[in-house]
Amino acid sequence: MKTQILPNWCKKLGLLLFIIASLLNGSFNFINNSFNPNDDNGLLGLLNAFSGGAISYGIDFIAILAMLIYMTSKEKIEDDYINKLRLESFQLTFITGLLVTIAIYILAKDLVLTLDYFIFPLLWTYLTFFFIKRRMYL
Amino acid sequence: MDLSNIFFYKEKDVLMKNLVKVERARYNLTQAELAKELNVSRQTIHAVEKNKFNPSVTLAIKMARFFNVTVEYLFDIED
Repeated sequence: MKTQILPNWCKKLGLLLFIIASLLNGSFNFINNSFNPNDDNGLLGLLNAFSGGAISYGIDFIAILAMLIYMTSKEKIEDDYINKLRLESFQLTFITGLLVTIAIYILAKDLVLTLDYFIFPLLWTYLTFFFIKRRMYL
Repeated sequence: MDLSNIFFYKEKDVLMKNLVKVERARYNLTQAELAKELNVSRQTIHAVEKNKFNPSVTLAIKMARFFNVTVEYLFDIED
């Protein structure tokens, strides 16, 4: 099954969107915590109150969507070798994810995490493995 | 169990040898030029030459046709 359904230019779009969303999220959190470290009434709190929490949620959503766009975009040249590297990266990501989950389960059985704690590391792990594997045979 | 094979994977189970590098040198081509001719990435040519990746039947035939040789001549199983 081909998961790379978007054209190559979408890769740049995804990366650009992700950087913008991450910078915005980081900036808002930084400003918020710098001025009001102990309460939620900073800039982000104000924007969230104004938008009913949609700003913070929306920025996170855009960042995840941007990474998904990046992951599902084609390389400049799609061939068997790149498909093999992609498949190996998916396998490694899955195994790493399972190992981390087992470790967390052993260390902190009652730990409750929200979904974003899983999605971001999962996407990042895949991208890192794929990047390393591609660079390995240069 | 060799843990390094999990990440630095090499196709060692089936020992293949190929003459891609030899034929490429005969045609005086760089890896990038050959990759462009075959419509694959340069990394693919590099991986094939280093026996890190066994090409698909399609790519093997494409290579053989490009070099005007047979697939059996270009790729063989090591004894």
